[in-house]
Amino acid sequence: MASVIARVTSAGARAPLGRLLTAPLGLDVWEVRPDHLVVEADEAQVARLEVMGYDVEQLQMTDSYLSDFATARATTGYHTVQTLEEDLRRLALDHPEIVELREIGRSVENRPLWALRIGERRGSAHKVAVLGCHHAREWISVEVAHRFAEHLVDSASTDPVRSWLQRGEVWVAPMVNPDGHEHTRTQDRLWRKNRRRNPDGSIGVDPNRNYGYMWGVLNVNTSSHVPSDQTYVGPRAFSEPETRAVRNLVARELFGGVLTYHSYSQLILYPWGYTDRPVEDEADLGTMRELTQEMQRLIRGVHGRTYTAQQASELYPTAGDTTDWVYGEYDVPSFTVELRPATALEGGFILPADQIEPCWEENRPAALAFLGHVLDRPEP
Amino acid sequence: MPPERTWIARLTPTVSSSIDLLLSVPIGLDVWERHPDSLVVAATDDQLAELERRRLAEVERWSTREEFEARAARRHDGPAPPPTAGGSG
Repeated sequence: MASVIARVTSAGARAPLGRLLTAPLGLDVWEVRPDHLVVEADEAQVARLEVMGYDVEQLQMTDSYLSDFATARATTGYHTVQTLEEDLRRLALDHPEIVELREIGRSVENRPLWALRIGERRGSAHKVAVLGCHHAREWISVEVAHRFAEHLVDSASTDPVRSWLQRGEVWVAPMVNPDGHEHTRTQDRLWRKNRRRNPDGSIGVDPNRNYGYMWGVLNVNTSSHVPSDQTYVGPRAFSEPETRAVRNLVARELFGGVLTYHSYSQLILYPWGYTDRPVEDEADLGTMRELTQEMQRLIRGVHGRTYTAQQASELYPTAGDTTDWVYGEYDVPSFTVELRPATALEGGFILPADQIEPCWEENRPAALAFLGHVLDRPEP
Repeated sequence: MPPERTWIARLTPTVSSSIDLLLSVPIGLDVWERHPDSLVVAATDDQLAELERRRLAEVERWSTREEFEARAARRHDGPAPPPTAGGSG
C-alpha cells in the first residue's frame, strides 16, 4: 500500500491534535507543531483520519521523498567509490615516503580494487592486511578501514606506529566490492553480493563465501549454492575477481595477520566458520581467543559498547570466508570484526553517518592491538 | 510479475525446531542476526510462509524491506522536514 507524507490539522474541537499522539493508529509522526502534525501514513490511515474529523493534506509520496533523501542527506559522511579513490590518491600523494597506492585487481564491472601500502620499507617480514566492504551494504566497514589508514599516516612520527612502519608494512583495502557498493548507493541500499551475472539470470556471488578453504562444503542459508541467494558461494572457489585479487595479494605478501571489517552485530569472530569444532592447534586457539578478548576489552573501554569475541560458527555456519581461508591456508591470525550497530532496531546495515566517528574511535585501540601483536613479533 | 515482497522478521523456532535447524534449511534466508532463541532475517513472503507451513518457526513480521529502509533513513538525521514543508526544521 502506498504511503504518503501528510500534514494533519484539526477541523474542530471534535478532533484535537493531541489525541493523535496517543491514539493507537500506527502513525509515524515526524513533526509536532502547535497547529499541525506531519506524519507518514498509508491510504487506510489517511482515510481513517478523515473519518475522525481531521484535515489531511498530502505533501509528498514517501517513495519520492526517500529517493531524494537517500541520495542527498542519508549518504552524507560515507564514501562513494569515486570519493574513496580520490581520498586514497590524496593520502598517497601527500605522503609518498610511506604510502603507496596499488591496484590489486579489477572487479566484475572492471572497477579498480585499491589498496594502500603503508610503511617505510618494502620486503619486510612483518605485514598486516586490513580489508573492508566485502559486502556491499556494510558501508561502515569502508569508513573504519579508511580511517585506520589515515590514522597510521597521521601517527607515523609517533611510537608505536612509527616503529611499526619502520619495520613493517600495513596494507589497507577499504572496499573489496566496489561494484556492489555502487549498486547500494544508486539502486538497492541493502544489496549484499558482488555484481556477477549468474547463468540463471540472477545477480551476484557472495565474496565472503568464495574463498578457497573448505569452500562449498556447506549448503545452508548462510552459505548457499543457489545463485539467487544472498550467500551464494559461487560456481567454484575464487571464481570472482574480487576474491582472486585478495588471494593474490595475500599469497604475494604473506601477511602475519588479516583483519576484515563487516557489519553489523558488534562481534569479533575468529576461525572456524565452517565447523563448530575449535581450531585444532591449541596454541593458535589460545592466541586468537586471548587477542580477540583483549580487543573486546579495548573496544568496550572507549564508549562502553560490547563487541563479543567468539568463534565465527557461533554466529552461523560459513564456508569459504576470508578468515577461515587466511588461517587455514597461512596459519596466521585472521579476524572478522562485525561493527556497529548491535541490532536491526538501531538501523542494522544502515548506520547513521553520525556514528562513523564513534565507531572508528572505539575500534582504533583494538585494531592497533592487532597490529602490535603481528608487527612486534621478532623477525622469523 | 511484480517482485516478491521482502520482510524483516524475527523467527523463533517452534518446540519441534531449533536455531540450528532454521539455519540449515536451504531456503535462502538472509540472516541478519542470531540470538540464543531467535533469528532476525530478511525473507520473502514465500520463504516465511514455508517456514510457517512446516511449523519450523513462529514468524514475527517487523516491517517490509522498504519500510525498514525508510525508517533507517529517517534515523539518519532525525525527523526531517519533507522538502515541500516550509518553516520547520
